[in-house]
Amino acid sequence: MGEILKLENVSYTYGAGTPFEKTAVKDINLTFNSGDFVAIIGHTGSGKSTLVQHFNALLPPTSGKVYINGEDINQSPATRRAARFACGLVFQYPEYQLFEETVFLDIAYGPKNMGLDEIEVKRRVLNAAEAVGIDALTLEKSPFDLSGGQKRRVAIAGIIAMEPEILVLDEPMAGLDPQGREEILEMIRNYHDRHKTTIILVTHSMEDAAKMANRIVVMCDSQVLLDGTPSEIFARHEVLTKSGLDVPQITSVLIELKNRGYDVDTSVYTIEGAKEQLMRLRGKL
Amino acid sequence: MEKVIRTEKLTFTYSADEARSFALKKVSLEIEKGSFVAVLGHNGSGKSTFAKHLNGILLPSEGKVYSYGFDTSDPENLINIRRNVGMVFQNPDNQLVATVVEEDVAFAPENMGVPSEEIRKKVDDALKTVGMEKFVKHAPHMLSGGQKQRIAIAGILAMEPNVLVMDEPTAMLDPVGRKEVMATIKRLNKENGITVILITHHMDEAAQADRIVVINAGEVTHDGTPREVFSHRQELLDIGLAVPQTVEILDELGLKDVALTVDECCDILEKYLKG
Amino acid sequence: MIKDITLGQFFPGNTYMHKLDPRVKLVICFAFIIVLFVTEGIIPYALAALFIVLGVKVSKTNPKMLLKSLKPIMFLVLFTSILNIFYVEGEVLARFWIFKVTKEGLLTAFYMTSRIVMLVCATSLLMYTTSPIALTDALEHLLAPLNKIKFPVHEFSMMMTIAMRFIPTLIEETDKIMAAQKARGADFESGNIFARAKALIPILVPLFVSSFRRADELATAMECRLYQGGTGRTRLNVLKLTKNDYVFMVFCTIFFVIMIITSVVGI
Repeated sequence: MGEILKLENVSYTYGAGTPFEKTAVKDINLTFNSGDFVAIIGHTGSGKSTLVQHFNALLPPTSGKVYINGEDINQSPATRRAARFACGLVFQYPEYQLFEETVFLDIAYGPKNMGLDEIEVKRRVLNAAEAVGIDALTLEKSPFDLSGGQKRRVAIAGIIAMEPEILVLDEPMAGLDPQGREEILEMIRNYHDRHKTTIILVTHSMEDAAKMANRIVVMCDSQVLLDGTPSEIFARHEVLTKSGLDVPQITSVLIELKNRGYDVDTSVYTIEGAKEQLMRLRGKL
Repeated sequence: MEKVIRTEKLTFTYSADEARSFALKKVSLEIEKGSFVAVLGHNGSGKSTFAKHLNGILLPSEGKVYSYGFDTSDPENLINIRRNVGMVFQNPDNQLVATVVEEDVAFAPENMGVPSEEIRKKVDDALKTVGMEKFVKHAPHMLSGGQKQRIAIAGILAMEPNVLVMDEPTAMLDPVGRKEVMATIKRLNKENGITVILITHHMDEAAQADRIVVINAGEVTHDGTPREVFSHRQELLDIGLAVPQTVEILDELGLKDVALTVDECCDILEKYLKG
Repeated sequence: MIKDITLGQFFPGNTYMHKLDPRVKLVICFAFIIVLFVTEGIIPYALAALFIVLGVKVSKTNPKMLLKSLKPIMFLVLFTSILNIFYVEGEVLARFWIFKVTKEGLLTAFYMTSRIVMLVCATSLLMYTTSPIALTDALEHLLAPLNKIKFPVHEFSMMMTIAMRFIPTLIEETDKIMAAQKARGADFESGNIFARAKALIPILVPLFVSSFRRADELATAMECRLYQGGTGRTRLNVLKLTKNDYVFMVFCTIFFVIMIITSVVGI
């Protein structure tokens, strides 16, 4: 699998030269491989939301370079625009960006901006709607008549319809109930399995990150604190707690058991993993 | 025990013509003074509609709601009800009125016609209760989500209500903000004796209450202590809810116990491991 | 970040000027502007300039900030000055091609420029030293007599307060929506004026929708906090005139009277 997105010494400072000057990301070096499923986690203000806006050239780095497929994306307005389509970014609470008369037209907004012909736009809209589970009937409705969960799906479809090589989702589950969260996660996972699109999921939930990603990047104070597989990251739970992140409850349980002198592996983060371990341990004792 | 809220066969339909679209169906509940009740349900279950009935924002299509003894359907009672039953909403941005924290917290007492010196005292007390006394002169839009929500709570506390209804106060907050707000809510209940009704879909928040009422499709499906309610794991899953992982793991291992905290869970697991 | 820009350009401080009653500041500022427009002459305007300089000193305002606030109106000032210089009839001082410069023209241009510049300085000083909320309060008090002719003074000031409260929120929201639409390939920078206006629809529609939702939620929240209009309402911070306010008013009145006298006498 080849390198698809690369950040080289990227820093970004808001309001440089004013009293409100603030460095939001500092000297970031990251490489993402094609087909990866990466989670970026960090608490509010850790810089993760600013960071992802560099992936599609929405923010030009104050210093450093961003490459997609080896190409510097901040060379000209044209390369910036190309980056928007190569790397689709779904913002937090994306349902607030819906504006068209019908769901179909709203999903078609991105593809139309790409200058595609009508047939191709239609094909992409239908594919995207299918991917997020929006049926033909709903496509003709006004996006403002949908439920909160459906609106979110439509908004995600609006980005998927651009068929980006990289799909970045900023807190796509925020404000949803457990079932809603599960549905969105399931949808993203299916999309990844089917299209092998590189997915970057921004979240503050360790649990979701662990369930979904094969790699986790932990941001703290504008910098990358940890970078590795879920097990590697969870093994360093004390660093996570210190940076204001929560480990899943089940991991806390295992950590406590370990503190009580039981030989358990605390890098486990799923119920199944814990169950297996506990049953094995019981047999041994 | 004194009942601060009583609903009798509370039924509510959003559109009068479509008699079938019940948002709430014959909900009869009593809430005791000083208790901490979590109302749990997925989005669209009717839990927010229920909350909005408690201080007369919505009026029942059928049935009755008595808030602090007052019938909500009588417009004469509204002021008394709203004074006693305070309401905090999901989006902190959309409930703050003023450009300075102290002016915002003062809004309700000002509306009540309280003299200036007394307002000052109420504002200071309310801000201290939510731990935001250092932010008296700040502009709300410069605060974090959790801080804004605590200001919104202070704005309600300045009315000195007996009951606090919170309609998903943490839904838009990050984990840090959620913890801040939950700690504030618990303190209000335990230390200030305020009855708290918390509308939520977060299991870990509901687990901290004395009592959980589960609403699904406008009807109460479960009502009991967190321990009782969480023992029905499958039923909760069926209506789109989950149980805390501490409960889940014990159930997966075939244990009958329900653990609400990590410590409790470990105690039970220790016994399990020792056979 | 755009939301960090404070509205009304208020700079918190603790100077004599900051502590003055906002009503007094508002009235004095208004009076100053009237005096500026009824007087004419080198001495009166020198006095007016002195008045501004004193204001800057007392409020510890950075003079650079005043210059900054003058920037946007510089074009207007230059434009009217030039018109005045060339088009006012009178004693001709110089002449080239079809243009002639008259003494009266130069003077009118000078007075015009001085008036506008000092007007902007005075109002900027007021804005820099008075919080928006204090200004609204002052306005509500000063407009109170209009209640008699059924002008909804309280509602008007409540509207102002809410507007000030929500402007930063809406700016932040506009920012977010713009970024989100840009991520979908929206282009706000190229094309003719119609294309650009059309490109705004994806921003304006979501902004309106969310504003209505916010308005609805805010109204409910206000009702829950017992809001029933202005009657019977008390205030946390009551405006009270202090000795300082009286001293300031007397000082300014004397100053303004001297300006008028020097103008009338024609020095």
